Amino acid sequence: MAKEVLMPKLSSTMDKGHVTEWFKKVGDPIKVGEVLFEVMTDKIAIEVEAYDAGIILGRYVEVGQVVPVNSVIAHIGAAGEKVETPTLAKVDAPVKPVEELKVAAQSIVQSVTPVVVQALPIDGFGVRATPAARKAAKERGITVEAVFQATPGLHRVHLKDVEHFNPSNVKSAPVQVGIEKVIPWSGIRKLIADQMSKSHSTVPSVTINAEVNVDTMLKLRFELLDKVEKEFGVRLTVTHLLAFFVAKTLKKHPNMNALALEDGIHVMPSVNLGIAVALENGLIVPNIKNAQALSLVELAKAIKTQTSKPKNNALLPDDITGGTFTITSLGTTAVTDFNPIINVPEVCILGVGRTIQRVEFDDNNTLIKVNKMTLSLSFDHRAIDGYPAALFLTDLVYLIEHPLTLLVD
Amino acid sequence: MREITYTEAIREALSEAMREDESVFIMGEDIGVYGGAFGVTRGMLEEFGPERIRLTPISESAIAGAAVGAAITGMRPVFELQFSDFITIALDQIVNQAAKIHYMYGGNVTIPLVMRTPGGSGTGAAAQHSQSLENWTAHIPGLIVIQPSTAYDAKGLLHSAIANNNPVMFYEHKLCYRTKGDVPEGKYFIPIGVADIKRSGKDISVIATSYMVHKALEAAEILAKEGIDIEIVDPRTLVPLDKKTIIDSVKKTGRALVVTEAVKRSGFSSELAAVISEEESFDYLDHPIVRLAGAETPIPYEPNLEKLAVPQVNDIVEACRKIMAAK
Amino acid sequence: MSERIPNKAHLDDAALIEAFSKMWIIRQFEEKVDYFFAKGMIHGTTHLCVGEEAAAVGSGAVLRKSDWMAATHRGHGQTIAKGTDINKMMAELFGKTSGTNKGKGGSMHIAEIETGNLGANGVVGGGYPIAVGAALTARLKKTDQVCLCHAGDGSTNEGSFHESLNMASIWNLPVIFFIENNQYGMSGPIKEMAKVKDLSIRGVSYGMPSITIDGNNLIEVINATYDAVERARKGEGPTLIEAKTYRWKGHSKSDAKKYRTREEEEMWRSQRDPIANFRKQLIEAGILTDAQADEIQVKATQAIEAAVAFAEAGEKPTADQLFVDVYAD
Repeated sequence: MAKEVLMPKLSSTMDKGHVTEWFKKVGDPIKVGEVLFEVMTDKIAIEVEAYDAGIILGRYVEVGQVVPVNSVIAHIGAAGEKVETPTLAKVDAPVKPVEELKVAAQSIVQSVTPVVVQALPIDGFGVRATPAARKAAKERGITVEAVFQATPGLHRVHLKDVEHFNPSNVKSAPVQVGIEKVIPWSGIRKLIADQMSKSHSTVPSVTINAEVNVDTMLKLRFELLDKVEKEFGVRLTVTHLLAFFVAKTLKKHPNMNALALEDGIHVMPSVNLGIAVALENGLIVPNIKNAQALSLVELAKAIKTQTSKPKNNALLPDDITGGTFTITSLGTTAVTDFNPIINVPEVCILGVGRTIQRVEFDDNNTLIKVNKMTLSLSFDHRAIDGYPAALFLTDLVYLIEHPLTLLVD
Repeated sequence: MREITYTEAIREALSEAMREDESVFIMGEDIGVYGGAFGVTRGMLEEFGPERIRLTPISESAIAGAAVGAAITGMRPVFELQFSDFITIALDQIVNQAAKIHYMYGGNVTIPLVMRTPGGSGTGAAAQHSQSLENWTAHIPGLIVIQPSTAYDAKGLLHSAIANNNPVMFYEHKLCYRTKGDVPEGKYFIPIGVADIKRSGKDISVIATSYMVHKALEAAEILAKEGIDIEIVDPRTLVPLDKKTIIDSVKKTGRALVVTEAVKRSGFSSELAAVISEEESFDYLDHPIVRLAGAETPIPYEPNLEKLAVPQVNDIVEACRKIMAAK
Repeated sequence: MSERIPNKAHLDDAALIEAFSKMWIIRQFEEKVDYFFAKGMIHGTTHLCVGEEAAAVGSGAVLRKSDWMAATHRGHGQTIAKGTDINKMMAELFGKTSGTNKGKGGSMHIAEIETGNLGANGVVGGGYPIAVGAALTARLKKTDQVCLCHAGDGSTNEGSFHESLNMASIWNLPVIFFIENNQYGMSGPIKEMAKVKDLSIRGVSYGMPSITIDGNNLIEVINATYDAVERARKGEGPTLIEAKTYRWKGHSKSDAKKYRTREEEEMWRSQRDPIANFRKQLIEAGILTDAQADEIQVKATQAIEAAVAFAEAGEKPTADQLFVDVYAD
């Protein structure tokens, strides 16, 4: 039985999306977890892996074709299996003459009552509703907030508003008042809370930002991707490359690879590179020991192994202790730059923001499209001064933009 | 039945009670030959003589106190305060003596007296002769407070007041005196503590006291033409208050408009609103309780200003329209 | 009628001995109350009439049981003189349901309608119009009852005094306004609070016979009150009696008496003690021997002990009594 591949809903606000790249053709075999396509949501591009193994039986959207989320965009199944080509809703209507649009708009108004959602008051006291309305709402199992949102121009919810309210007309769940649940300060949450409080309250932290052109690095990744994957079984990511460049740069700046302890600053001989991993219920930083001594492929493999451990519950105490420098990435989100909190007693943490396309002048004063990323370095000013930190970041940026210099390193 | 005025209804009750019970007598300033400032006792001196239609000096404290002493010792005095504003001069005897003696003496003595007094504005009598101070006595445990709005209620309630063994504050309204209504001949009682629905309706419960009942009835006619059907509840007695009738009405309509002539701040309208919101009627409210009450000013003399100081028919109409149009 | 101590009220020797006994009972009652307050066994406040016994007893002795009497906040003596049960009075001070007012009134509101006691009054001047009202009842019911209205010097500056005197006078009501002038309000000396030397002058302006007497002379009090009562019974209207006396104790339990001298107090105690003087008079007249007088005093003291025992044996009101008797049926 063939499995449907759907346009995924990748953010809370995403209601449509388009494929920016297919990584498999019809007829290709695919394994579970293998990247099938890349999607552009309303915010970012995300690689989507296959949930099922088999042969690609059909691909129904072209690159750039916008479809609603949950549309069937491909089928994976057994070779030769028959599948029905789905009918896809059109989202981007072709440009029509103005007159035609007006008619269309009128017909919409006549045929359906548009669902207009009124914003909830933000005064902290919630929606005004009469006691009778609240009583009736309670009896109907609905909230006065939902009624308020669904009734434009309402100042206060009255009984008749509750009576006229049709919950099926409302798409979004109403905002609930009160507390849904209490997450106790225990387990990993407590560890994170303690660690963050300690860092934030004891470390005079400074964050500096630098923009880096990642075109060369991305090009390098694509050049290496297939070969590395085929030969070494690891799919090279931007994080792998960044980690590699960081480890190399730290070699030139040993003071950045240090621990701030009671007796002084311990400059560490090896780079034990931590990679922050977001979990469902928290955050954990496994590290890769002796990262400075690893080749790109070795490092990529080590990162893959270490970062998958938390999800598989395979972490050992050694995996999360002894770190000397941490990388934390929000590159798959909308965040461009941020102030990462130092993972004490380390003295530095590097935050990685999203990649955004920019238009810039090149050396010939020609406008070109470039991909840029912001690196945010937080450092412990007790241990490191601003200038050496800036030099480190400058060298890192240079290396990312000019990876070939490693050949003469 | 025949139609008589509110004034005549009160006089009838007084006369009937005095004919029947020798212990009933009345005291007050100018109640004899003059017939009282508003003519309530006109003709009574001729029938009952000066011993029982007892003309007093201008001594409100002594009038009230003598009524207390007479009541304790076996009489059923009814005294008239010429204007309810003058209760200020009689308050010690009403508040510290009449209201408390039964309780303070361990129930060993009763104080069956009635204070009759006209309140309210609308006659150009200005600030010291136009107030509605009924809330002052409604606040005092031990006193019964009655505010009849119609001739029928006035007679039946006055009979009940005279027969009652407690001090009863009987607040008449100057503008009610000339109103007319069907009143039975002979003695009848309207129980104290029972409200009356003066007009049945489904949209808004208008709880109105004293002369405001008449204004609300006028407003109801105007509103009915617009499809707004108000119910008018007349508490008739403020203490004890017939909470149930008020609560039931609000449960039915889901909206409450309280209309009193007395100043809004800390007035009886506050008590009525509080009762509605603290009892089960709260759950049925589909609009905040609205109060229409006297302006927080002394009552001015000039006729237009005087009208502005207390709720008028149009204020009630407007308030009801606004309630029904609420979004 | 006693021939050895003649008096207008025709009281015989036995009645005079009874009056002497009552004065002593009053003093012992007050001393006991003072003691229990000091011990914290009675709460609230109280106003004692030690030194003013002759005014209370002399006026009360003339009344019939069916006559009315309105007392003041310093009313224990007036109340005892009118015949109120001292057991019930003491129980009332103890806040017991066996008290005159079932424990709801306390010192300032002791009342006993059966003995014609219309009640003490916590409001200075509050009793005047009530007394007028009681007299009005007698008038309207055409009985020959009179009402004795006790009041203090301070209350003659209240409006109710003036309104009531005038009303009683114009209606010829059978009321006796009996002003116990004990020289002080709470602290204000009456000579600074009223310009007239004798308060009886104020009664004159309302057209009623008015007299100032020695309130510590029992016979003088009896005679003046008798005249007033007779007038009242005959329908000749009210009388004002100003009985000059002295309150030995402070105004209430928390009074340092800084407003008067110790010499003044000593003079009244040593020379003008109404009880000692009347005892002397009884002995000199040969009505009592020393031993008999002592025995009467002992018996009075025993009666107070019995009243205390009665009060202690009583029940405290239960919580449900809070809402009982706010309104009559």
